[in-house]
Amino acid sequence: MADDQHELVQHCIDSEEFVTIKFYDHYLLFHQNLVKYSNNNQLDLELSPSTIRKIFGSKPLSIKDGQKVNHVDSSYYNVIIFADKSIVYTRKRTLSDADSELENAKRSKILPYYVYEDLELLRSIGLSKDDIDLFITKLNENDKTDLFNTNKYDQFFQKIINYTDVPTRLKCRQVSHKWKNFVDNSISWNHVKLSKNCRCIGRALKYFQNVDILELDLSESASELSTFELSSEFHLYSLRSLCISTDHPLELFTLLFKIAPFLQHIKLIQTFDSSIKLKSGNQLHECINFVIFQCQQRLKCLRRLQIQVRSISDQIFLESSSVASIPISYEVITC
Amino acid sequence: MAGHKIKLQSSDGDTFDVEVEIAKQSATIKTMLEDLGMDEEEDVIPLPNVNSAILKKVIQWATHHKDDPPPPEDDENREKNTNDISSWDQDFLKVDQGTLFELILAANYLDIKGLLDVTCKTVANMIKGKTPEEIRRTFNIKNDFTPQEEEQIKKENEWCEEK
Repeated sequence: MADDQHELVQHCIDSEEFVTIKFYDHYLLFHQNLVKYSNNNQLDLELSPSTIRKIFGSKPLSIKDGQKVNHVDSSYYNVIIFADKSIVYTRKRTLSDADSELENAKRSKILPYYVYEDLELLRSIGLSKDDIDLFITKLNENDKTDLFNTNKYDQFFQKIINYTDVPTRLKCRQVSHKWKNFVDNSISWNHVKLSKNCRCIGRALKYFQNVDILELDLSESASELSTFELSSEFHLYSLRSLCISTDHPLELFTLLFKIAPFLQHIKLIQTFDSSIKLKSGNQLHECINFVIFQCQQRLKCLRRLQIQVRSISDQIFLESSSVASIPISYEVITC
Repeated sequence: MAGHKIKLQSSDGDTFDVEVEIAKQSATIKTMLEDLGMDEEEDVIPLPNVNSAILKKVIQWATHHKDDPPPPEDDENREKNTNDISSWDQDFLKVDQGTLFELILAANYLDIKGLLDVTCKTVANMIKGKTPEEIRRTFNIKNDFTPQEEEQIKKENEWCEEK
């Protein structure tokens, strides 16, 4: 039984609204509203003949064969019947078909529970048994497709990796040599935005030397000086675009411009935090002027430095005070 | 013409009548119809790489999405989002792993970008939140790292914590 089915059965048991009814070796979980007792204390179920057929199959077992028992382990249940008379198959479709299905299962895999629901739907719309059997056979044939243990489907594997986020991708690196290579060669590293979860910018930068990184956004990453090790023993030659914030320490700017000499676009953002942290406008201006100076000194390929500040007065002051040989654009953000 | 149908033949010989507009979500079929002039109702388009069970699912998907706008081109500049799968697609893709992988192959062969994207996203979501060992178990992958290599990779990954 799938984990979610197991949980569903357990949830029903825990709700204390369901009763367990045993038919021979099979356990069914009925909502209490559906279970009645006739005058002679015999079990009776408030279900339409068609629903009973759905549960018990074409050769119905007699309801008299059932008996109310205490709940058992959730893995033993075959079917849950809810108060609205909807049915969830947690194992096999019907009890009377159990033996033949067991035979089938020996020849083919056991289909997941939701496929049984689909099959039930196909039966109810009148599809013949042969067609349904063919459908099941085809589903079994699909099991031969193994996307991950052959090189034949690498293009899809790469596409799937490209859809993963950074923490998942790093987990994938730990799976096997092949997965590690796929992750390291993934184009998903072309554009990376580091979140606050990034504990150590220095180590992240060190990892990025092994991947093809083009754009890096550090504007939301942690800014404490102690969180990264200053080291310039490596280079990010592929890096072309960088987004940083005025929260970051000046040493980080120096390091970044040193290890990524081919940067072409830089966006420097005055974050909301920095407007609180940098109380004096002078400190903000000094920070921005430092970045401008470093850009001029180190980045010979720089095409644009874009600076976002939070007040028009800062923009006017900076525009009038800084003289630079690189193209700088300013904008004011209000939110 | 609205309601105009064509016949698609699966690898195992089953034939399906499908409205042209639905079938044209497959760029492969669209090309066949437009370039090769296969627009007569009696023409049968053979699809030797798709079996009938999968073709049925693909037609079901294409029928549901027949009025969707064309999917946007891949924007390499954006981190891919896997949280935008509609609830219908989520239910549709609650299938066993083999079927899901076959759907990926069929979507690729038939060149149905929307289906290929959503199936690959679904597999990516199956990976998300799992430990490396859980991923290995899910996809039956052998761990071929030495303990030293494992330790080294763990160290390299230390910069990022789980969300």
